[in-house]
Amino acid sequence: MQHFTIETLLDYLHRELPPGKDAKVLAHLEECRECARELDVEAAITDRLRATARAEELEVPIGMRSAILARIAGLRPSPLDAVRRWLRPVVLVPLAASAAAAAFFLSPYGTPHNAQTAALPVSYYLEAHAVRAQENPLADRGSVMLPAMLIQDGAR
Amino acid sequence: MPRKPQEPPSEEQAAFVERAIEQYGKATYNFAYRLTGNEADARDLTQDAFIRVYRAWKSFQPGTSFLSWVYRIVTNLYRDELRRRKGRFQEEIPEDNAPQEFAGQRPLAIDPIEEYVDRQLSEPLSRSLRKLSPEQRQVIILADIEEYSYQEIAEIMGCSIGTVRSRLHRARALLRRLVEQEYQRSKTR
Repeated sequence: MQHFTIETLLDYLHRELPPGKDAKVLAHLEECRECARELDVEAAITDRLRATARAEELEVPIGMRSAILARIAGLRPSPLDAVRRWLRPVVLVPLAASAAAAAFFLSPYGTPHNAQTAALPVSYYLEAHAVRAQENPLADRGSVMLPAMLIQDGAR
Repeated sequence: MPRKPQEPPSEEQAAFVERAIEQYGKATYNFAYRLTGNEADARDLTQDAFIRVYRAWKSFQPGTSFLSWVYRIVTNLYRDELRRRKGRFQEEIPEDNAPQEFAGQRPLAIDPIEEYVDRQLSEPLSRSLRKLSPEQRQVIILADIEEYSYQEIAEIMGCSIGTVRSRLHRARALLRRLVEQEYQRSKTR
């Protein structure tokens, strides 16, 4: 009778054989006392290993959990560290530049001088120019912004 | 090349680790104890493993076995430690005779006779297990005590299934020989 190797019996014990081979080993074990005895010895070692592990099972030592959490707390940044993170130059410089730009554009210095007139319709200028050109042909060479009073006086 | 700064840890991250310790702290500690063979090293290994869990929590894939992931971390840390020490973990030498503190009682057999019989059979096996190389001991712990499949062991140990199989076969053959020697020795005493 051809016997299975101890390696095959170990794989059988650990349920690691493909189904076909597993069935062959099972059938063989029913007929072969020698292989069955070998398997019994290996199975007994496995059973004893598990029983030993159960008997030696330890509880988590007191203080281990808090020691881990304390080490983790040491790794976490404090509120002061969070503030320091914001004070790094890489954050602070763009932030300061944005604030300065916003302050400039919101201040009177940042407002264009003709900001109010820019809101007036274009047709107003065309009409005003036409009036000035009609009344004073040299107006184009002089001040563009002739006082409206002069135009009105000239019209009189 | 400078290391990329780590993301600031969050409350969620700390809560994740706290829950992991709650659920898997005992199993992890016992796994570390079986690997190292002494409580002091097991304690250090377990603590380092959970710090690693904390740092690498985003690499855990939900839906997979958390315990396998922790065992893989313990295995890698144990391997690093062995390499660092270039040898075996120190044998535990208690500094005094004071008993170790435990959160609960050790779940030993209550019946003294039962305990005696159990110890008679268990001690030669424990001694034999300690004589194996760390990798042989590890594969036996994972296959026979933790009951992982070869595939799972390969993932935990970071090797092929073929390596797991051959390592387990060799470890079991050696363990059997050592147990038989222990048994013969106990008979002649």
